[in-house]
Amino acid sequence: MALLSYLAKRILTSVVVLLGISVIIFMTIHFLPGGPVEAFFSLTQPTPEQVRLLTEKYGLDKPLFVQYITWLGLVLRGDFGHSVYGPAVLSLIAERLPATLYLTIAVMLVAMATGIPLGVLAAVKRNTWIDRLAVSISMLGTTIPYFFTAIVLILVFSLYLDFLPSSGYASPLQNLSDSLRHLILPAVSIGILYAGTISRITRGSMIEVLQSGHIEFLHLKGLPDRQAIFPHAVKNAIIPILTVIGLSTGQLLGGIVIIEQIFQWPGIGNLLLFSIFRRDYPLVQGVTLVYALVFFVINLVTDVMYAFLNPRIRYD
Amino acid sequence: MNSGKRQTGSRGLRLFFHRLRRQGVPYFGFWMAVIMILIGLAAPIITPYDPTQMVSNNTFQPPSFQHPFGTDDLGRDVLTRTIYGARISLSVATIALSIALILGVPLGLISGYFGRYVDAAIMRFADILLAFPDVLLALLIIVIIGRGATNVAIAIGIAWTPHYARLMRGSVLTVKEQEYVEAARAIGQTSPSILRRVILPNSIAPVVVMATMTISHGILAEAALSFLGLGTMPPDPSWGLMMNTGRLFLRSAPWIAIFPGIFCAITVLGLALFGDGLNDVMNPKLRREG
Amino acid sequence: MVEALLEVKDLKTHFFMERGVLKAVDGVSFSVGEKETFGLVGESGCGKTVTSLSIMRRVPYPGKITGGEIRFMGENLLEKTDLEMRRIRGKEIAYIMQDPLTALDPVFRVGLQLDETVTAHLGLGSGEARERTLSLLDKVGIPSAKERAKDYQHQFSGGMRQRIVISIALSCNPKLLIADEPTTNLDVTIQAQILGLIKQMNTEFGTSMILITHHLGLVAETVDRVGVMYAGDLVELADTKSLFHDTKHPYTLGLLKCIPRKEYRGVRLPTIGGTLPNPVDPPMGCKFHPRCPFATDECLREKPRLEKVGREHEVACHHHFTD
Repeated sequence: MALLSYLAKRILTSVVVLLGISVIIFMTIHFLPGGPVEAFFSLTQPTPEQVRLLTEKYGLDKPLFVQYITWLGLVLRGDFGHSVYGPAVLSLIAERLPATLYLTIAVMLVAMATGIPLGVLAAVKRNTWIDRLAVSISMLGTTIPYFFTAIVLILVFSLYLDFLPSSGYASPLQNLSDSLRHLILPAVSIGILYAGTISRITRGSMIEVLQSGHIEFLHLKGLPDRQAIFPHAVKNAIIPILTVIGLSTGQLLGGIVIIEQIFQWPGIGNLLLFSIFRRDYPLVQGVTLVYALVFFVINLVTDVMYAFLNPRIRYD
Repeated sequence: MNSGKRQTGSRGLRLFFHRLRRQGVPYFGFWMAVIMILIGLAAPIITPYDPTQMVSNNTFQPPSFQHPFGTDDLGRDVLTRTIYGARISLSVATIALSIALILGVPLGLISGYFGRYVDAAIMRFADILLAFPDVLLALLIIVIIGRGATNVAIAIGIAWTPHYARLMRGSVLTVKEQEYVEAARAIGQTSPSILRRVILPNSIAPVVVMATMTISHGILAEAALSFLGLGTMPPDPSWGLMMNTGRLFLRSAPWIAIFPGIFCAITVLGLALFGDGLNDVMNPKLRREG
Repeated sequence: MVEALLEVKDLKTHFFMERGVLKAVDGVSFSVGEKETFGLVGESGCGKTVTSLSIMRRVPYPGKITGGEIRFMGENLLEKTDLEMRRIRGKEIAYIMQDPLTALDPVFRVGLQLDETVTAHLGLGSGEARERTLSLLDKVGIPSAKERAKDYQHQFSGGMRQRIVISIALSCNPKLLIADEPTTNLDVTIQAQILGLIKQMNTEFGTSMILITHHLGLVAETVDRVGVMYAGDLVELADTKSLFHDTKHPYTLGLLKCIPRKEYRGVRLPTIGGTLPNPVDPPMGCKFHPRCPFATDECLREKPRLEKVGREHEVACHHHFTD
């Protein structure tokens, strides 16, 4: 099927990019003052035995290229090394990844649930005060820094109204209502930003579609609004909207670092910052790798979804 | 994309302002941003206090006539620090933009014009950089080169370079096909000359639009990174840093965090409004129908 | 006398814009009989498309139909409700747009776009609808209709796409087909083919047609009667033969002279001097007078009305040709 071949092509060209990513991440350790040995033992002075083991494992006495291959081999086998504090990097990441994913999904849901209806409303009521208001709201959403929004929300809802907790995390599997209470502020703080982006794209896309020749042709064919025109409009309009949702999810990975910091959310963003401040370079490397991979997957999924929806891409 | 030849020089500038003025809201945004810039530039003149002077018995004062924005945890005047914050934000953003332009525009120009292997190589490299979310890339660079305001500027600049390379390349690809380029070649102009005098001015329009976005993102990124403690180092008054400090005293002294945040929001908003209108001004063909 | 299938009486459609009122259609009257082909001819911007959209009652904002009557099968379309009009569109009166690329939805398979028309108007079930779709596609000359119905619009050539649009238009056996420059965007070689197809379909289904075009030459072979429009007015109305051999209006004569022919080889093509009048502020009197070599004071003072000069011939000119 054409879609599968597109997917295959896409993955193939991505291999270069993936390798490039891995090279950059690999090189980070080597650019640090002191080199890899310093990076792995930033806390304590290593014993000669420890240094020998490390050298053997990562081939530190061999040329850089061989080191890279060694490292890559270990990574592909799931060995991300150990944090300078002891625990395996991979297990630390695995522990925290679910919390980040949970938050990411929540943010995107907030963004879509607010952004799409707002955009549709603005498009349908084009050039009226409703439209202008909706556009202003989405503009505010995209420009006000999300960490500022977070601070203001904490101030109002947590400190003055004492309605919601100002930080922390509760697992949804244990106590759903408590979990949601902790989820609201972080999700909304940054959800507003993407709600704004999504609503602008939705509005633009809807307007363009509603004015397009094929929709007019449907009217000229005398087709009823709900059964016929609506599905056509939606299917055409949804393509850029879904694309921007995919791209926003990817971008979100960046902002979530700060949100996790503000709300003490135990995710990998927080872990990344923690590792940077503690000079835990193996951990930094591991988390960055996972981050880049997740980002890569999100972009891939977005591309494939776009190809699925837009027949022109598929059949070229 | 602007495929006709651009107006240059003072006539172009006047035309630009005329078109911008007709846009209404973006014009307003332009002046919002300009005011912020001017405030930042005039900081030493207009501020009543020294931004870093700590007065130990004057801490946590709420806004008053003497201190319109109150004082912070070390007794420093928040208004003064907020205004100086504009300086830091804008200088970091400007440096970042310059780096991204100096690196990205030529790369895009070469990539688009010469095509084939050069193009493929440059674009592949850009793809790799773009494979990281912006914030992550900036973080990674900071890890390597260390913290501080200038390093933040460098990190953001490098993170934006592939975006400019991409954009410029796309623009060049369109301009390359225009007849006036063929005409220039026909009269014997050399490639570097064509690149510099013909292709560059005519493909630069989208870059100008992206520049306003970069500046506002630069301001946000500096604030974000400083917020995390990886950017501007104390006692310098970055908006992000102030917001982070203010966070700790949010209940007792919210003014420490709020005012820098408001200023940051206004600056970014002004730039964003301006940037939107800028797109319409530079590409009049895309004017919306009523 | 039996009323014609379509009778347009003194139709006026104005666009209300910032810079003034644009009188796109300024009092146009003509009729189209059963199984008849009527050509509506004129330069770009003369109001022929707006006329056809007025008949469909799909005049875009900021336009409004401000006067006149459009009688279709004895009933005034301007008095119909939206729902009634919707039932008429696609079923009784069909429309073919100029550019098939914009008419067809790029994200839906073409077969579905036919199915939905037939289902909506004829109430057929999906199986029957698809059967009808396939036979229609076959009729318009799409090879391997069954497989091709599953394709998307970009997988067809321009001519094929227009054939699909034609099949959609005729799918419910409309009484009247309005074809707005159906061949303008196609390759010259395909144009004749498509036009022939349309004619063939019309004959087979007994459909009347309004063919809108700026190309008089096209009209000569295909239509029974012609209406020439200029700046919102109908200036000459005649059966094809009379229009070409017994031209009465100076504008029509100018148009005829502009058609390239082999006698013009090596000679400069004649043109009609001047440009179209400002639609918001047209000239007084006869709108054509600034460009007319035969204009007099009378032409400036008084706007000529359509008057009968032959059995099937009307013209709006103070100095129309006689012989």
